[in-house]
Amino acid sequence: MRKHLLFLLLILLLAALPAFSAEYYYEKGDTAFTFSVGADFPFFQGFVNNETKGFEFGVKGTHTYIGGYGALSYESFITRSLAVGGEIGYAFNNSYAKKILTTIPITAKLSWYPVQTGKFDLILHANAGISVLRYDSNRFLAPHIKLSVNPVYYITDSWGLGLDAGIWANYEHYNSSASGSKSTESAFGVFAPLTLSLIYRH
Amino acid sequence: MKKATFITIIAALLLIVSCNVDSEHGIYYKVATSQASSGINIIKALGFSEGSPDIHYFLTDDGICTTSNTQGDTRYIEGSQGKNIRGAYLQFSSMYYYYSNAEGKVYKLYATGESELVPRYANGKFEVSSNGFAYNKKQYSFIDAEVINDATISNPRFSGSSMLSMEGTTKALIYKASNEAQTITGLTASATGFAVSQDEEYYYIFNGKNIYKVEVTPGEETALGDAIYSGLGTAPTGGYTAVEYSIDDDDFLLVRTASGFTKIDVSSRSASTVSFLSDLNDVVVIDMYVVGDGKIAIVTYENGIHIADMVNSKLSDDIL
Repeated sequence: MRKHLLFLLLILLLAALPAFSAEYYYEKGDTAFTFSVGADFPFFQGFVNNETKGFEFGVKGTHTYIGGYGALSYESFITRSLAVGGEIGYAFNNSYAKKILTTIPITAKLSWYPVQTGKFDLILHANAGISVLRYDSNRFLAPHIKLSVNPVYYITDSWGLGLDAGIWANYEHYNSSASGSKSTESAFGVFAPLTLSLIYRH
Repeated sequence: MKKATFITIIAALLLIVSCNVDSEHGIYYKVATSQASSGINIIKALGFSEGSPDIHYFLTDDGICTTSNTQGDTRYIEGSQGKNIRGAYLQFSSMYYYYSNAEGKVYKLYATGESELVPRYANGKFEVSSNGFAYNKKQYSFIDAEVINDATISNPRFSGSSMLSMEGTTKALIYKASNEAQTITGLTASATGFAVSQDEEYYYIFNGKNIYKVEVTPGEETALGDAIYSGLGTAPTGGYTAVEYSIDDDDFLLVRTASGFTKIDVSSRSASTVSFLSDLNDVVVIDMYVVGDGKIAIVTYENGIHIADMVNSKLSDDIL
């Protein structure tokens, strides 16, 4: 499985190499708005201080069903291939108990455009910030990171459609001295969103 | 202005962060231990038929149901006489039940599916069995005190063939079929739980967060004495559910608290958390009973029936 994945990555890298040497399309100061909507797949939950729970994967392990994910972002180019901005998202997943786990990430966003032909962009995003978790009347403010890859095809000069595949993680931390036995419930919540993105660049 | 905005943002963030500090469990923990609904709401656990510990009986709004050890295999064993059964009791391999709109009539259900009206004595008293199910309109019932509308039954708690009823707030009466009531004194408030030992020689009485063990002595008055354990976690809504089980001749008490399961070693009077049952921390437990050596059926309101293997620390898949 790992060999196949490495091979796929190598092919993608080789395919993208010619584009790396291509002319830049973007200028410093260009901007981009992105609206994304799609599915949110439960990946795993990792209980770092818990001997019985440990890491549990997928729907069955996390007791969380496939849900939805949406995000709005704004970015401005600081170089011809790097853009920075912000993003606010919303993710929801039903638990086995049919209660909704919601996550609202508010992040700073860094995007790298290694491939930019004017008609096609390959964008790598990295987000970092906080997210508000809510479940069954409980709330928690957690650190949040997200990585994604986003190929985009531009229908016009300004409007593009893309597919954004990524992974995001929250960390819900409980200090052992402050929360007693709840420290064993400190956990990573990791999900994989797959969204369609609509991009307006200017 | 900027300072005020900054302070407001920090205060809002602190408010959000502090919201989960007092909760019983972490958010991802609650999600990871959430349980799917079985689609069936169990009102009362009826146990298993003698010799068939894999087949469990339970009462729902739709009638008496049974399940085999095959997941999801459920069938009604009652149906021809309507589905408004309010109370039921399984004794060995005989099932007794009554309807909500037929007060005072108790039926016996046969394996063939046919039912028979159980006759009562001239004084209005049913005595179906000497050690299982009894009904006395003026005194006590082991199925459902509510339907009998007997003012003497207060805060009833059932365990096996016994029932605890409060008399005021410091005294309890424990009824066991065909025996005189045993009076328990020394309570500080209504009992928060009640269980009978496997050999039916002792009662476990929960008062506040304490557990007391008293000998079964029908007709006698018994003071609570010293608690065998104090400091249980908070009681669930409706009180603690508890069951005694044995491993290698040592007796343990499995207690359901609001936040999980606690195991009490009756001999050493020590307690420990039962972490392998944490997947059931967030469900409503109706009843628990022993189904084999160290094996306990945990019956939930809407999340099925699970078997906990207390020897090997394993929780079965949902068997309903």
